[in-house]
Amino acid sequence: MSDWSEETLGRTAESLRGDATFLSGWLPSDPDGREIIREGMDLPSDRLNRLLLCRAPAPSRFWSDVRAIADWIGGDAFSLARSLREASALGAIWQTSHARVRAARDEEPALADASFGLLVAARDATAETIAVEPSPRVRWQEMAERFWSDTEDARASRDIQRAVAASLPLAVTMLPELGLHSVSSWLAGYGIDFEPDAPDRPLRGLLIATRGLGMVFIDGSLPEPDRRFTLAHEVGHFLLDYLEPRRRILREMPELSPVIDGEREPSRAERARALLQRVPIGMHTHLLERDSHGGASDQVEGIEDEASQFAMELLAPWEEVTELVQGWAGDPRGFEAGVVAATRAVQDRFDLPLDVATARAKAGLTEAGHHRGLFDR
Amino acid sequence: MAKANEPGRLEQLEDQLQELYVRMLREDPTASAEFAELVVNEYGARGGLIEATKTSGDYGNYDEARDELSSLVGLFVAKFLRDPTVYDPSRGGLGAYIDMSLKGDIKNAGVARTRVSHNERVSLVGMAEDGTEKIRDDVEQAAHRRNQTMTVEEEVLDGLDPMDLTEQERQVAMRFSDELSPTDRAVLELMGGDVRETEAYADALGVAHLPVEKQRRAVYAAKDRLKKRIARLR
Repeated sequence: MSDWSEETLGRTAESLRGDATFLSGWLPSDPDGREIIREGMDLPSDRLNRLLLCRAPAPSRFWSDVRAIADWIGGDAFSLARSLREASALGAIWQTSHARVRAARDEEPALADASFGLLVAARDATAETIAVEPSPRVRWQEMAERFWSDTEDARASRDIQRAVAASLPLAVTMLPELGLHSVSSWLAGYGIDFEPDAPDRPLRGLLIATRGLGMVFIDGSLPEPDRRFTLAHEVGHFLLDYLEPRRRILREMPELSPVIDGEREPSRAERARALLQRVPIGMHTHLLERDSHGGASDQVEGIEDEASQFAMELLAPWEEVTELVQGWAGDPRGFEAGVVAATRAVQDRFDLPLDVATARAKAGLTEAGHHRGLFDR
Repeated sequence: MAKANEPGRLEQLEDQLQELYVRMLREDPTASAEFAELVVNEYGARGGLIEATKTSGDYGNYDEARDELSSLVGLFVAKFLRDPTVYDPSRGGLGAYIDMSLKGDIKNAGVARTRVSHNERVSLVGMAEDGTEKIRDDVEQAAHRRNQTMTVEEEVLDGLDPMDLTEQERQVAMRFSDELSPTDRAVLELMGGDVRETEAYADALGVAHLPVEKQRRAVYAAKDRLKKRIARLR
């Protein structure tokens, strides 16, 4: 391509900056979405222009659109999806962060707090108890099924990171030694002020969600099974505690869109109507708080547990687990031996962390009638 | 790319354009980019268009006409991508539509430019007589007008203008001012005077008759082109 053509295509892309129909206008200006894509995909300027002139992927067919665009620019579809997710999530967080700064400056404390516009949830580094809960809710099974349905190739290998990039408006970033402070520093590099109201502590995962988009941070130093499970856990938070309630609000009370994005407070009438219609306008809770011993409130623990249950369903579907552990139900060597053998099988098959595999195997065995006998106690 | 006058080339080009047009209407994700690349490469390969641009207006040299054509093609393609339905297939081929539209844009730009440069020649005589005092007055008047006519939003947007000249760029612009067209000199004078009002630039560029959004785009393109040109001259 001649210099003239490249320059002219650059000008065309520049003229489309204000039009979100095209990637040129869809990518955020703050932080610079073009730069994020350029770095994420190592694109030279001519290929970047080819990309910027494409239509922005439609949410309903994001993955197929991204694959077509990746083919056209000669890039990897997964890298493109990941970079697009990252750019858009950072743009949304930037907007919310700056809206909060503005609100604080204009002395609108209710909006400065903006707890309803932002979900922040963390998976602590300290060990947690994974509940042994048989018969997962049908809703989780349906949601997990939907999650994988867009990406059959990722489903086969249970490649959750690829599936997230393809099917959810969620970006995933690995940081070494993850903690609140390291996330704040990383976001500050993009001009985003993120100072959570909680002391720094080591984390396995952290989710920030706002304006319909999310960003997950994972401790990159974790072993692979822990990384996968932590990502699945944060996906659980994103779907169960953010996206689903948000969609419900937008469906039933669309006029509340600026309220749930933290741009204004709900009026009294809106609060009353939401209450009557059981629409949870205050659902975007801050899930970071812990007491002085590192414990979470009952409500937060319940929410964390649901996210873990959903994560298990995502990575080790209930039907497959119960079928797999059947052979160890009533193991003649005793209850514990059966649990150990079934756990190993679940761990090998689904590549889960040991504590998660144990909880899942126990639940499966319980469902199959394998109980602790009198002499097992 | 094959030349437009090769046998069968125009028919082949028309087929490609029509196929992309249909895909654009279907909101195919890459059709817009493919269309832009096809049109830009096609018109970039037609040296005659640069010559046509050069003769249509008061352009200083070939490079300037080449830059102007690049701006015009860029704006035209962007406009078409935004709304491909401006083309009505029942009224003829898409290739012919693009040819006709671009030639019209080139002609209009040339006319506007000639008008501006004529006005500028008059004003340059005045400037020579009044010296720097006159430039300062113009800048102050522009600033005054801006305060009176701009909305808060426009002021904020213009306040974010990344096109301010650095001291080094000002010096380069002054050193090479003889190589610049009167229009470019006028735009640079406004940039050098930290004038941010779109209206002032639109006057200088001869696009004040266009809607404000189009003026903004034209002004941005002109400033961008000049900044790049200065960078090349350094």
